[in-house]
Amino acid sequence: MKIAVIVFPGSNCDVDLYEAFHSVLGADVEYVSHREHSLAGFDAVMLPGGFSYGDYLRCGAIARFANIIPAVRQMAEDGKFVFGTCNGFQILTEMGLLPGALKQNDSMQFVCKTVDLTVVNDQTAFTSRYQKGQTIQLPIAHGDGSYYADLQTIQQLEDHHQVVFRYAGENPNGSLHDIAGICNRQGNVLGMMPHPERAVEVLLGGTDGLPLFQSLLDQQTVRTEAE
Amino acid sequence: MEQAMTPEEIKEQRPYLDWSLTEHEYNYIADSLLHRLPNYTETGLFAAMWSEHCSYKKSKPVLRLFPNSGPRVLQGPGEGAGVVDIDDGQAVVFKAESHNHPTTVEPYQGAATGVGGILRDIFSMGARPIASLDSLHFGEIKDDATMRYKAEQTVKGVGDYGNCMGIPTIGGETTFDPCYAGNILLNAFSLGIMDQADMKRGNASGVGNAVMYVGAKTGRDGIHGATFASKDFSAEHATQRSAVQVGDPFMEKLLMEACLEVIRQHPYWLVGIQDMGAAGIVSSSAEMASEGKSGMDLNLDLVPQREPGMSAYEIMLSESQERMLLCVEKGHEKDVQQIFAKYELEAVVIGRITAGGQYVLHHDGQIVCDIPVHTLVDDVLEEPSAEKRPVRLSEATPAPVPVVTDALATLKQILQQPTVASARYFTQQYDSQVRTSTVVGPGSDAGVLRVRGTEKGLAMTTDGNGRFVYLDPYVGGIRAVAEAAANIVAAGAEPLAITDCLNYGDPNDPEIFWELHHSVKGMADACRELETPVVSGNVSLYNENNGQAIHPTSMVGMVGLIHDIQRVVTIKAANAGDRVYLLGKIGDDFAGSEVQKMLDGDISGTLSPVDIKEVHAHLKDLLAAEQAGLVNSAHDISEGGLGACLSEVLFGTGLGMDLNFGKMSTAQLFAEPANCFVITVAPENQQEIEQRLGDWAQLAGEVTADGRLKVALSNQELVADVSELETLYEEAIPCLMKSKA
Amino acid sequence: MTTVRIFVTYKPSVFDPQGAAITDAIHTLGHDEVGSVAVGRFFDLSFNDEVTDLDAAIKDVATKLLVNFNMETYHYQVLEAAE
Repeated sequence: MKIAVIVFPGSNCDVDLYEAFHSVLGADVEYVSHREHSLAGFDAVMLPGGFSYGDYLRCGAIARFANIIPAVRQMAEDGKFVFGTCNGFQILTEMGLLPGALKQNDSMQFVCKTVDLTVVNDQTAFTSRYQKGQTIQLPIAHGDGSYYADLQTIQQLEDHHQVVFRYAGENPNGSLHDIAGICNRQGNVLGMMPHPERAVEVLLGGTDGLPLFQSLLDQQTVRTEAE
Repeated sequence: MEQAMTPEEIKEQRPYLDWSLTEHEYNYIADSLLHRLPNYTETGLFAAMWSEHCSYKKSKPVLRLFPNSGPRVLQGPGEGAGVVDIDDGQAVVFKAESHNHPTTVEPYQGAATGVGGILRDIFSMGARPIASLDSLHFGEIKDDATMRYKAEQTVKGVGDYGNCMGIPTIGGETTFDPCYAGNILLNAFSLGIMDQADMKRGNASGVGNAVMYVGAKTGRDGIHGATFASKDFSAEHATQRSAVQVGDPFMEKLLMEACLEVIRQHPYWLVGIQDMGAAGIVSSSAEMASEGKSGMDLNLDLVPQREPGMSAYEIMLSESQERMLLCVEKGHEKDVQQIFAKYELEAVVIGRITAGGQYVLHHDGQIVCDIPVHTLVDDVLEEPSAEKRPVRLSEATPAPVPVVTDALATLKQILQQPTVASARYFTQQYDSQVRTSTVVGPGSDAGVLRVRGTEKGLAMTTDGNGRFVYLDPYVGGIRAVAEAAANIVAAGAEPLAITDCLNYGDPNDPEIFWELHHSVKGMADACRELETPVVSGNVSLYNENNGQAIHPTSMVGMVGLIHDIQRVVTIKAANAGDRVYLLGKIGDDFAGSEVQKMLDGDISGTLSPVDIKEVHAHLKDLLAAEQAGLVNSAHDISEGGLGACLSEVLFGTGLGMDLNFGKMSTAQLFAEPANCFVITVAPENQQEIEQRLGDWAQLAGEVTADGRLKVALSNQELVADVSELETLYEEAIPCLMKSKA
Repeated sequence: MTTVRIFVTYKPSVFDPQGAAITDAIHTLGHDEVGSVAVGRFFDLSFNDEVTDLDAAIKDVATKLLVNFNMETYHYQVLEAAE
């Protein structure tokens, strides 16, 4: 499995995702600039956290006009794997690959801490190494992470088991239904506010993020006709 | 229009007095340096470059007391930041800088641009910034909604800038005292890492080489920031309060990536690089030319400008943020432009290096400045200062012993003092983990990072206790350095070097200059003994509001090296059954303590002397024990004394302690002595630790599993539920910040 | 030249934490007569004379960029019409 980490102007967790795959898991991973037009040869694409385009206008709103975005969209359509954390999740919703939007935290403050999450769906390409109902701990670090969608959309997410992670205990940002991460209906696109890439080494305080990346590496790569 | 003033009119009307240039200086410039009258633009440039902020003309004689060299020092003061060898061909680059006045005026932007400025200092040396710390000193937030707002906005400014840049803020300190009510202190520290081969300096040389301007456009913001920072801060200067700049961290992130790409991948294109900080283009260009012993010829019409109709004077003195000046080898201008274009940034040639040492500026087809570079940078008149021991220090007075009857009640109260209480409300607004190398984040003695790809770690801390320096400048100066060293050693790191921010009142007051002099002497003596030279720093004077000076606050930022990151030591107790030791003797060290302030409402008394040689020997012994893996936790005693220290060791662990301190009085549980620690040690290492640390270590008891803190004192026993203490400690600041009173 | 001000606000059903905090602050000032505050922002767009269908252009910019219809809505006013 070959993995792309997209670098937008203002991305800053690109290094963290890259190193999780590269130095911790020894996977085949490359940085890809937002200026590129193609993701040919990659099996999965990671949209990192950070402040793409300074978070100006709305978080993730401007990144969706980058050159690379049509290729990301194509990956999703082809059934390849697309993952966004934090700003990456915001970009996925702004692109329309995932429903809803991320609002400013109810506290109106940026919050960086480790939170408890419940694994709600262990049947996705990113969560097969977790157990449904398992409580894990991952760091969050965001100012705009309050998940919002209209009630009908939320109901659809619940009905189709698209809520993948939920905050357990305290809800740190006011997300509806305690939603921390969701996937598309096909299960090949995952967006989440918490940072699994920050929880892959004992030295740094925990490894609960590792199974997410290991689950992805377990997947069969998807070949499209063009390849 | 003012700019039309002729040299003769300037001489006559003396507008330079408003820019903090004295008549004596003006006459010296005209008579002895230029042998003619300076024109309007030139006078403005002199005023900025000869300000205390740029020239240190007042503090220089005192700063010479600091040791600046050592076996690991690759670059001392005088550049963007200090550079220290951390083995394996790597180096750390660090500096702290104050942004007190802008933060007081406009907390959000003042704090944000403070962080932005220090980060540029780091990456201009060729290093990638990997951590920030912030030393924040506010007025009391209880019953003061304005100060709460300012604290909230300051923290948000620090957070928004650092978070957007993707540089973790891993520690610092937040204190509250009435003396900062009219003058907040924001001292921003940043550390970067690089291969020693990548080091760059602010140097401009090589006749014909290009002077290139990169980054944001120049506007009228922040003109006179340097002279602004060199003036008293009273209500009558309220009109000057528009001088604050606005930060754009996104622009800075792009600027950083572009600069690092040029520096690291194309070192031969680049002669030198410097941040445009205080006094904007003039200070960066003149300092670079001075360093390179060159002349410089700049055309200001080429400077990218955000507003039309700016005068030469305004262009040169603007403190618009996120700009850098590069000296580029002739012929590589286009190459550099291409790199910057990749990041959607403009890079513009605005001039050339010349022979002969003249600093020449063209604007609108005229030569608006033609003076020798050295007159701006090297010929500044040092200003001798009168000094006098403050009346309050005329005789030594022992601190009164506070009356503490109920140890538990006092402990609970101490843990809720904003200076002692958990700062999590503030620090969790900082991304402390981005770049995934943070081993110990905010809330410990020192922040700790691992150095990716090596076994090394870096510990760093910022410490400034204005109360101690106020009560005893010399011993307070020693203690500032000793406290920082204690924090570094507590983490299991070897102290390497320091940076500092010296925050004082008006140095023209002989008593304040005496404080500056004697506290620096104390710091210097401590640095010399502890072998931690001063590699960078800054001086912030005139921290006054309506004639009321802050406590003299000497902030020390220290960096330490952990040779094996697996041996990092945290402040948290690890296992029930571990032995608990008190290192050091606690006496009646109440002068300037939190308990004194809390119970007496004010601080008083003389500090106990500190034997810095003994401190050094102890720190070496403790570090060796940590490196041998004998110490499971270590925390130094600081604000709130032993009582707060023990609580912090237990918070979050679920553990308790059963301790007996024999003859210690109840009040002494809250004394704040120098060089004291609480460590925990596995039972099997008890003998070896006692052998290594000798009399310094006193066995006090052991860690228990029951979550209760039991402390036997000379006349009472304290028994506390640790989780109850923790709730008080955690809730104090959120409760204050959210109060409506 | 025509200047158009586009206002973007949360939809009425979306919780607006800033609005709630500001309402509280206003009440602290003693103005209990203020029932609620809604926070939004505006964008001033200066169109040059080349614009043919102003309403269509505004709608396009708003829907494709300025507004996230999952949570926001907009309206606009023409501040300064072309002569």
